[in-house]
Amino acid sequence: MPLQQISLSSNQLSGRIPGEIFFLPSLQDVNLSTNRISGSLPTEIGGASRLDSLSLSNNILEGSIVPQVGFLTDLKKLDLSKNNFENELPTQLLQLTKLMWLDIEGNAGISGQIPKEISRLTDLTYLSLSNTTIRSPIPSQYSALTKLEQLNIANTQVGGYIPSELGSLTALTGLNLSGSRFRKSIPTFLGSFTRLSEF
Amino acid sequence: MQNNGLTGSIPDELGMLTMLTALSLQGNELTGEIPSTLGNLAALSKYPR
Repeated sequence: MPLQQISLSSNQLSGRIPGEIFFLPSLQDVNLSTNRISGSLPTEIGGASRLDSLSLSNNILEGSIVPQVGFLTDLKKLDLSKNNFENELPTQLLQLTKLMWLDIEGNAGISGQIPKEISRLTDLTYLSLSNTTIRSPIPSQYSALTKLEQLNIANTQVGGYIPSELGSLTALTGLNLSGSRFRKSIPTFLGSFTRLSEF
Repeated sequence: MQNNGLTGSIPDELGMLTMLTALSLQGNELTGEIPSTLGNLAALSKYPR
């Protein structure tokens, strides 16, 4: 079997991500987090069709999250946090219906709306959009994410009312909405979050 | 090879290790670029894409 796993996290690697690695036909797990890797996401990334987990957090990657990410339909974990990515999230992300972990936090240039269709990602257990410039209210469709255990929308431009539909997220153990622009009072449906240990 | 004190760069020649299934070098002090030769292993695969 050719290379399935590349774990190079917590080094001082620099330069760009070589697009060639994404042609490895059995590649399942790539972790390049906590390095000094720069440049943009290679479009070749879409070739790694068996990729299960991709962690690129805590680097200095920039540019858009390329739509080719949408070809990684086996992906369960996508961690792009703490980089310099910018522009809107590609709608192709919504094709990743096996995703359990989606972390975009700490990319100040990520803007635009939270897509309503995020409700398709019903296996999500972790979703963080904190420390981005995403605006728009929380779509009520989030209520479909019934497996969600952690939801972070802190320090964003997200505003409006906290939709009462969030009350159906009964698996939540952590909810961080601090520093965003929500209006009105703390909703009473919080009482349905019986597993919540952090608020 | 994780969590050693390895320094320097990742040699291009790693791309010749065609039996390698996992490359684990996390937690070292490696510098330089990720060699694109890692992708060569795809061409040598007996499993066609």
